[in-house]
Amino acid sequence: MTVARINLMLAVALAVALIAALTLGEVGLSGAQYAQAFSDPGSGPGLILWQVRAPRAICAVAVGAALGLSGALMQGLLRNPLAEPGVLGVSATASLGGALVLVAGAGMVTGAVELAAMAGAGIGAAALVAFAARIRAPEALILFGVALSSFAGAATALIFNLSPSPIATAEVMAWLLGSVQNRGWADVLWVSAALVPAGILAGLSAPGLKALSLGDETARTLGLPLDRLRLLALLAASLAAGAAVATAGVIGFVGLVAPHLVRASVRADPGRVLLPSALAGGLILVVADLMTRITPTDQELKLGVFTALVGAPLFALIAWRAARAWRV
Amino acid sequence: MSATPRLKIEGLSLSRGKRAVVRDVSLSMMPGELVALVGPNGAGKTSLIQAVCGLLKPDAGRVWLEGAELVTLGPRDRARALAYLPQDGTVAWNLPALEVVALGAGFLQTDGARPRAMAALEEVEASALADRGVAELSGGERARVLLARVLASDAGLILADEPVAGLDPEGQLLVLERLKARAGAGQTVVASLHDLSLAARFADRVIVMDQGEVRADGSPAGALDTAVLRDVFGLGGRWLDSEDGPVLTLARL
Repeated sequence: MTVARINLMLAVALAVALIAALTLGEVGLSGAQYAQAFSDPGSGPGLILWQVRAPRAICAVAVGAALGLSGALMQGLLRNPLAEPGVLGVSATASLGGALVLVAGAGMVTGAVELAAMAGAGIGAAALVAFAARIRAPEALILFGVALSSFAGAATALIFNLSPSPIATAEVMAWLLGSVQNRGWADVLWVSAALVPAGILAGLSAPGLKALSLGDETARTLGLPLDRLRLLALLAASLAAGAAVATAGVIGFVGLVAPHLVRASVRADPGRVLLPSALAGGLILVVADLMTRITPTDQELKLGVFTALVGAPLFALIAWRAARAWRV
Repeated sequence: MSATPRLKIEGLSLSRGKRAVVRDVSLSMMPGELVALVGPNGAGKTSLIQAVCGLLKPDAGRVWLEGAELVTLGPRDRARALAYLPQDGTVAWNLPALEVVALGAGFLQTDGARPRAMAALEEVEASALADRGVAELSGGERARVLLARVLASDAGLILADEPVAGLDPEGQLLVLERLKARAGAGQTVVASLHDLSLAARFADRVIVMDQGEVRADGSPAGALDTAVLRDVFGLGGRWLDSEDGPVLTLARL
């Protein structure tokens, strides 16, 4: 299968999933009501479709795409099939950044949470790259990620612990559980604004990621400007992961699973896997969000909880296979 | 007036941490030479090779490639001047062998990369592996593919760090025959080797390193004389005449 074909297939699947996300929901709409939604966007059905379902579904796609892209970038840059913003603590450092801004009372300042989350993601990802450049063992990187994740999680908990406002704390906790519920067009705009430059930077780093498969030293002797590549890929991964966390909280494992689903179809090329990973991530998240909406529960399932329930066993499976490859 | 050396090293010293691993090494290599770099573990062979690649920063000394000083060359120019085969042959992803070989033609692949990669795979008798994923290859097959990656470059200088380590006898001979053929065609090949008999058989010139210093440099029989074998390797050795030229036999003292 060619790369163009897998991208096309994913794009078509994504379109179908988006239509499903628009048509399915707690409130069943009749054919006439759909017609009304199109002719009069200000009507009841119009509001449901255009102000509730559409921004939520597109948010899910954009956040999923950001996570898929970020995961694929981190895997390529760190040469580790288990790398992912959630697993390696980048989402946790992004959350810490966002939580700091919220507790400082700057949550209402436009873009403050988003920028703080991206900065947090950038610091976390830079620490990982610095570690990976010195310690080659892939298992060690995962352990470092666990430490980073735990530390950022503890620091976030400490902030809540010392925060004077229990209401703010509850709100932030709900955000961190991960969801695209009640997201509007402004959120879509924010995550897209980060996704576009992240995508361009990712595209620029694609050929370098392939050369990097041979290791840092060999890649450098092939003419790869390694520092520049690291900077590009790090910026792209942090922008994407930070935007995803700022918009939807911590949603784990999408960044891990999406690249694995499409890797074989691009013959394992870590540069070519970027775009299909983003598409697959978007597809996974919009379908997962639809599942949380149509699953009949009293309290709506949180998206982050749902993806973790499905993703963690998949992580274990991928770890099993990776560990066997590392032992050779 | 003599030709420009392919590689010239002057007064190179290098340390890792606080330990000096290369001490005041000066060497010069001409086009068409196959140079075997030998010495016990920790002699500084890998460090010297990596310094020539620009991967390790020397404490002192200078390196020239084709008369141009290494520090003045950008990453692209270095890639055009030299090809490096590291000891560690790990490839992170299960890329098809042909794609790995094609990377040898530069990481920004041009149209000519694929045909050159295919030709290099043929050169190491591994055309059949072109479409196989490198993670699925045996150790010997992967070594051939990684050698082909270096052969796909048309760099004047090939630096191979232990290119025959872990290979079966047939694989060892194949690798050294191909490197020898490339030297015969005008490239300069530097290969670090542990097997002194192979070094003696294939190399035009042998450089013996010990504790970061060059202890001997010359023809195989000249460099690997009784005193060097005894002092550097703790070995006794005899050169025997054979149909294929002089053969080195070794024994523990």
